[in-house]
Amino acid sequence: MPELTFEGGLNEQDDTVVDARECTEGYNFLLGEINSHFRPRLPFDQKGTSVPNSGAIRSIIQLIETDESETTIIQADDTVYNWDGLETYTSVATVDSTSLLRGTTWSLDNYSVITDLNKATVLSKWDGLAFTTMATGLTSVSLYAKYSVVHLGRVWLFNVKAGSDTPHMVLASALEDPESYDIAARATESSFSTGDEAFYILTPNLKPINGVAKFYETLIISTEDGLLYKLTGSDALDFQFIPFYPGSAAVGNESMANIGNDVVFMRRGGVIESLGATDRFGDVSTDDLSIYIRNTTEELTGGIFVYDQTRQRVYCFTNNRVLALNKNMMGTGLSPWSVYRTNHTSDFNVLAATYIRDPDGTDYHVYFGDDAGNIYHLDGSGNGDAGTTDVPVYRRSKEIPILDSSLQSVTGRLYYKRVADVSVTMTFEWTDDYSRTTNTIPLAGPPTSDNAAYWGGESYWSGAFYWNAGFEFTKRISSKGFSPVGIGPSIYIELYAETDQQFDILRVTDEQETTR
Amino acid sequence: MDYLGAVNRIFRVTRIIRGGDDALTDFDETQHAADLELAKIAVEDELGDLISDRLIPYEKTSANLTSVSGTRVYTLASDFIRFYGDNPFLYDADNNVAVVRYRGGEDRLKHDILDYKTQAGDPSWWYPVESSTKQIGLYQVPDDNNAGKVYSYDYEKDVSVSAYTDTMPFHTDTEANAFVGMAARRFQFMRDGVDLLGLPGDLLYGNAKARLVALMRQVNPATRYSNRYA
Repeated sequence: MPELTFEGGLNEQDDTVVDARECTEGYNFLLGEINSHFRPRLPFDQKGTSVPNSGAIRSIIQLIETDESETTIIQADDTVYNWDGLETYTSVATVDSTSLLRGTTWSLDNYSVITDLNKATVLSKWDGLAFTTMATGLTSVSLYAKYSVVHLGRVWLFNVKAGSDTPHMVLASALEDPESYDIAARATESSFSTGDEAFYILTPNLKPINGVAKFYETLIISTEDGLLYKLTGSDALDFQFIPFYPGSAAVGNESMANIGNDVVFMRRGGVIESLGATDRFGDVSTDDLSIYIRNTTEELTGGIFVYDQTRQRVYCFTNNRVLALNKNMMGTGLSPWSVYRTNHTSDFNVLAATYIRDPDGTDYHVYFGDDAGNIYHLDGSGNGDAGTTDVPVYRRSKEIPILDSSLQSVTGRLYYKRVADVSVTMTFEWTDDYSRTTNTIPLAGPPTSDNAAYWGGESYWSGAFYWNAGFEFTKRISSKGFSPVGIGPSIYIELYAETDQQFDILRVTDEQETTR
Repeated sequence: MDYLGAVNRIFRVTRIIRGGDDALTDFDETQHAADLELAKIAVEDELGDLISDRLIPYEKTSANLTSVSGTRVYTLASDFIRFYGDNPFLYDADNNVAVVRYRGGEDRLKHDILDYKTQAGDPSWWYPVESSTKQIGLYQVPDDNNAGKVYSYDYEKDVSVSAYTDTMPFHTDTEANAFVGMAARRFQFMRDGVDLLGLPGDLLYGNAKARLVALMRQVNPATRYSNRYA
């Protein structure tokens, strides 16, 4: 049996193209910087208490002002709360209960421009103190918008309703005045004196806009069942959208996200692509990122994409799962994907997810809410999900030939770092016999005191400990042997643990090769 | 030393338990599932070998049976293998009477005494009864006057082990360790896929077995060895 390591992520393609360092099935394992370790993802932590009305969390919007002061507002059903990150919720507004509010920070005046993916709540703003209807400069008509972006000194609103619903319309505010819009002046065609005036643009194919992202300094939009466009021009006199990617467009409402140096989006068939790859290679199937996890994504029709800049990871919340794309793994030739599941009652049933600064701290995390008024963030530090629920962790290898064909049996060792007491179940599926046998490996954590006396005694050379304090067991490398019952020319190895603790498995090796 | 201790010692001798490995605490653990099965087989085979040779003092024990009026056949102790010693007999200590084996057994008795199954009286002979369990019959069949008599008998008990808590049938750990030395070699052969034909010629195996026998014998072994020149 060759050495089994865990550099790669989930690869659901045919076994013949799966790298031995990847897994053919699996979930809840952690990927990041490329290394050989098999570790569980960090649990998600519950932040503070539930919202007072116990409503579904539909929005999480954070405003960080230029003086670094921060406020976070939460929409739970029809109520918007100002949240301190702990247990204090102050109601600041009532909105339509179907709304899915989203925010964009207008730094010049220190407020958030609030749009609504369902266009049920009028364009609003949050200035850290009050949640108010935003002035638009439009007379006798309320303005609703699905998306907003700050670009080239203007607020851009996409898929808007001003009287009649115009999902194919883009409104751009006057330069540096996000409270001035014009639904009659069309870019390039109207008379503008300076080019700084507000204007509107329609999508060239007149189809509804369902995604917006900035790709470096280029504004990209997606249209439903249409294609991707990019914005060209510099002012009202010459702004226009031209085709960027004729092959396809995003599906869903939040399936497009900037990931720092690229934009990822999901298109029809659950295919997740990056604009960087698209720009280079065009509309060919090999440029999609989700080729590794096609079985998982093929039925998807959308998701909430969130980029975690700190951890260089893109999360897609969809269908009670979170697809985790690890940027540092892209380009390595190994699958960059892990899939997160939970046994917690919240079950990743998510209507809002966003990457924000901890309301009560300085770190950044991806926050999300459930349908019972609870708020969580990924990559937490508790014992299990929400501090209560064990996390199931699983990997299944590709077929592994057994080198010693005369024995056709396996005895091996599992090397790990001592982090906590965790039992890992190794299941061996034997080809030929078609049997599955199991070994439970008890990984040891550090002892209670976490100090090891040198050479077993309490003291060494008269001192209390060898060179003052002995050493710590934590994270020291240890190993456990195993020998599964079974025989056959090859095996599939499954590793499974369900735990509220962390573990760190380095590799699995064939013991016979090392001891004979 | 118990069965579990023997397996753990085999695992240590053969380096199954090393590094961060813990000793087994019972036989339900699956970490070393295949090695555990092999180790159990090694112990049981080696022990079976010794039991068949009647080398183990642990084998001798005694039990009682009590006569019941009208009952001809009696079941022997559950761990009964065979009676101990030559000319085995049942002993009625209250009356200082021995019930001896009917020579020729039941096959002869049924010809000699046609109504042996029903003729009641004071039992004078016993004979093996062939059935699915270890049983003997008494002739004569006890009557009311001979009911309640307690007969003791010496026998060799089964000292094979099955539960992990079973005690290994050796007087001292030194003996048990020598036994484990034998079993460990058998285990190593089996684990490495080496033909067991070579086991009797294995020096370590032979050394362990000689050591065990020397430790178990009741008289001193020879104190010196030398070549013989005929």
